[in-house]
Amino acid sequence: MTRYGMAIDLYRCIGCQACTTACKISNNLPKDISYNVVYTKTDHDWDGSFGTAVVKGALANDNAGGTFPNCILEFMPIQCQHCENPSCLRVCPTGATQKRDDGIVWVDPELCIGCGACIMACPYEGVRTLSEGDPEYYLDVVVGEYDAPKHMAGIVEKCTFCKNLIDRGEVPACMDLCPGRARYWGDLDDPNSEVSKAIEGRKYHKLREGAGTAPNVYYLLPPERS
Amino acid sequence: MEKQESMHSFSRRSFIKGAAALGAAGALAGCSAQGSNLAETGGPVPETKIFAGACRSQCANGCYVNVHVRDGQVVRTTAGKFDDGPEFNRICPKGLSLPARVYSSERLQYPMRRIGERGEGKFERISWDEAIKEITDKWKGYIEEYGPTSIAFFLGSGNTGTLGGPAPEGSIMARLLNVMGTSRVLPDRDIATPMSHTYMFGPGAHGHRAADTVNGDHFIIWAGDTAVSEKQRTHFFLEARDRGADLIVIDIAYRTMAGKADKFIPVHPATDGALALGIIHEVLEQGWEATEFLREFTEAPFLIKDDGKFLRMSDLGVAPTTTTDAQGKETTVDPWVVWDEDTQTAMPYTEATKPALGDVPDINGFHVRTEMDMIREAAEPWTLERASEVTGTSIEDIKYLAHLYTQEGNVMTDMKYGLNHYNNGMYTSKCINSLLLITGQMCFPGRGMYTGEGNFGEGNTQATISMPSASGEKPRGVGATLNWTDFCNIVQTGKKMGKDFPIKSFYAVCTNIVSNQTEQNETIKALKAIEFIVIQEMTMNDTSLYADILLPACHWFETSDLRVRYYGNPYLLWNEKAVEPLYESKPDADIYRLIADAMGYGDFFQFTDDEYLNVLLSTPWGKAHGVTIDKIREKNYLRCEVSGPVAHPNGEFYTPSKRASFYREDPKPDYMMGQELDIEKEKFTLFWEPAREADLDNPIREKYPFSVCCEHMRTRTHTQWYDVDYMKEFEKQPVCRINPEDAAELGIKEGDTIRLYNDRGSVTLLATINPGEQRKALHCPRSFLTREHIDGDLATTTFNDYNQACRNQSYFDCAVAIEKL
Repeated sequence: MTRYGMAIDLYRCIGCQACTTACKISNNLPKDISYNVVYTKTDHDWDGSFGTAVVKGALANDNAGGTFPNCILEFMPIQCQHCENPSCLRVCPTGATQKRDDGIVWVDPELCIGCGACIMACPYEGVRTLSEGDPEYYLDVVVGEYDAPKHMAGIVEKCTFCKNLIDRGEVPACMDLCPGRARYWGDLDDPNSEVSKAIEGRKYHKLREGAGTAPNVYYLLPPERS
Repeated sequence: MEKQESMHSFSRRSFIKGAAALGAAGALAGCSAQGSNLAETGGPVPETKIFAGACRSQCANGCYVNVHVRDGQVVRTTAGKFDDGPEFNRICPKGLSLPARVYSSERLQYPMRRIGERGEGKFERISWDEAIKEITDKWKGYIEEYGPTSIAFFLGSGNTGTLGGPAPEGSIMARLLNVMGTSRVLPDRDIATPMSHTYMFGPGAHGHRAADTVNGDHFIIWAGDTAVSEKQRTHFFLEARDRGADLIVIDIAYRTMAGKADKFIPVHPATDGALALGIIHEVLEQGWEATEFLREFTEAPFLIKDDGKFLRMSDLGVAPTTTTDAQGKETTVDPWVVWDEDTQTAMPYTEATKPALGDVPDINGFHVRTEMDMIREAAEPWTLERASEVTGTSIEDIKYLAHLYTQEGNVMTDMKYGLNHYNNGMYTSKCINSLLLITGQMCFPGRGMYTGEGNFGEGNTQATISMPSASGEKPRGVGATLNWTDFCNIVQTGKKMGKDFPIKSFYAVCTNIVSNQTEQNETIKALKAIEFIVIQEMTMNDTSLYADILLPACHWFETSDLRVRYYGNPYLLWNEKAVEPLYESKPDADIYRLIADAMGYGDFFQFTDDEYLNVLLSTPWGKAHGVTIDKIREKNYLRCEVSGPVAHPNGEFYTPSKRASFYREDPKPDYMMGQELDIEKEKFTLFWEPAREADLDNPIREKYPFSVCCEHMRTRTHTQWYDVDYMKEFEKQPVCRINPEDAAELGIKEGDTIRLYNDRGSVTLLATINPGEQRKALHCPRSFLTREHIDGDLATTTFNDYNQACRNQSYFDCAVAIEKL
């Protein structure tokens, strides 16, 4: 059975923001909504803070941590982890939050009442947005895919794994094309899928597994050097 | 913060609004209002067409993109895929947000005439006919009264399309310039480092190509944050490291690539030449120099007499001969002499079996030294201690680099423009080039400068520029070539080198000189001194504000064009017209033709676009490989393998001696505007002096304690994309990155408003604390428009004069003081 997942090679991510921009345009996202954020991170505590990002209120991206010249500068792409055992699913009072057979966790805008329970329940802060007012856009023109998600006041939005694209045989927008070649995607149950091959033999981290969510995004740690 | 944002949005909308008030239709033509998402309507699946696009803003990555068009609108851009080079598939946030440039509220919609003060941004709408007539009436008058050189075309680089681009090479604008015989103004950017390669290695390609990545054991990124400024090359480094190579970064700050490196080696700004000299000193001290490489492939054995001239065969009584070179020009042949160790005699260098690198006796009464003797002499003072003191690099790190370059296999050195942007860029680059030669880290697989993609080059530009008119008339050629900084003086004094040189008009296309040339106040002074300025642009950028006549150019995707010249990938790219030009905008190439017709030069432009492009493609390589525009259009891209994976293979250099050169007996400056010149500095490649203001020991640093590296942004190419709000989610406003201890001393906290200033100008922006900065060195992303700053402009702080012999804009060589507001 298909079980979609993603692997992100933290060594290969160069913080270029191609994936975040691809997501934003392909999904015709309003100003205030980001499904995907690449944080600047200044430590190696992968379960700790995701880091800082301009889109989350920081003044600047790309500042290092530590003391010159002994610094740390990492990047942490964060989106919905499409968990095996999503805590958002359990708390949704209307059944708007759903998990497909292929593992994709999504929010049905027709059913969502914007109660925010999923936001509270999710251990990955910032991956969802509750739109308070009518969506505002940067452009007067509708961009992105014709079947991009609906955006409207009073609903919760998050990464859909670009199910609209996946369902017609294309790849999620953030996957096409990562300049650092950091992102892999596909069927975790298929050992020959790109994502399975990327994970094989690599040390990885899954975010905040203590929460019991069993996330399907694998963060590949820098390869060990001899 | 709040205030700045609203000020900005006011000013950027005001042009459109103001113009609309004068009778224009302000709304975007043919756009549907947001909110009526097609998916909601439940109608049939709308058709999306994909067109081939070339992103061509001169960021040096040159991405091939798919342009998605639905209902006649560009809705998405994705990476194009090469079927014969997936490693060159690429796109970045800029390329992905191109729909926002097409539908930018900053787009110029129709021709306009200035009605306010220069720079004020007040314009009235006029018709194309009026605009072209006004331009060409004025130009005809200037030509009659002052000659064609009184009109100056600026050779910008904001659009690397061949038909529409303002590029110096072969564009239709370049032809118009040559037909009219106007002056051309050189931007003088990015000259020092490439020129240092030409001086030492001869013309041609100097970098190993990505295909040779597999052969490098160690990759040194020297003074550049590849992940930001040339992000599409980054994956080659990361893949090399994944395969086991070491990645070493030498930089003034801990930036993205340092975070990926096995070793980060810090250095004080612009002291990298001294670092190279320190490494060379250690290499020579240890006897690790590549003796056979130096003997066989370089001029190290060549002999210099006490008068500074080479010892040549004529000095030994052998009369020079003459020969004709490839261009049919007669040249004198008077071979360089070397001392042959095997025979203990002096002879032409081409005949010696073992040219001596030192210990050469007097020859024919001439006391001589080898270039190698001079290398040893130049390196002598650069002990580890002194090099460490000047560069701030530890003795341990200098020793590490000396060992790495000589004892640990193949080293790839990546050096782009980080060192170029200082007043001493030429000297720094030559010292590093010398290090590569002395350690033999060139010319062989895995050993060289990296990368270097094979590219078609600039095409047969000579042919496109000089081909005669339909009636057989020859273009006049360039009227005069003016260096940018000289131009600024000429327009204000009316004189060049003491002689009358009136400049009456200035024409710039897709190039925001106000923001992108150094010392902005001088740029503005110059523009204000010019009688009639014509700016052809897509948007209302800082330079557009100074136009007398503004001509709206369409977006790249609203016309077709060929991207020829280079860039980090070996492809010619065809850009299909994907959508109709918005408003009254026109393709740049059409505008050049309108001007040419009205000037009475229509006869010179009686060709189709395809005919013109085929002339451009008719280089010797192009002809040999059947490169035509139709062939390119078969796939919309065409791979050009014009060079092999290794540059200067097996010691092949393209200098007159066919060897790499350390010494020039008669160097000339690459520009002349009456500057004082100590030519001795230019002769030997191991000469080094500190930068002008980035040097920590310069007394000016007592008054202006900080140097500013005006760094590239991730989200803009120069100022292009300033109008794309999506990009402001990552780089929102001008900031100054400052070391935490420096900040603490000045009482500066994250987000504080600070002013950077010096005698030339000032800028007010927000401070951000960055432990990745070394003391007394700031990084400020450059590429914001003046109106995006709280006050002033970062570009006012830099200086616009040149190194004595190298015409180079120094974006990083700038000292300022900081005031907390």
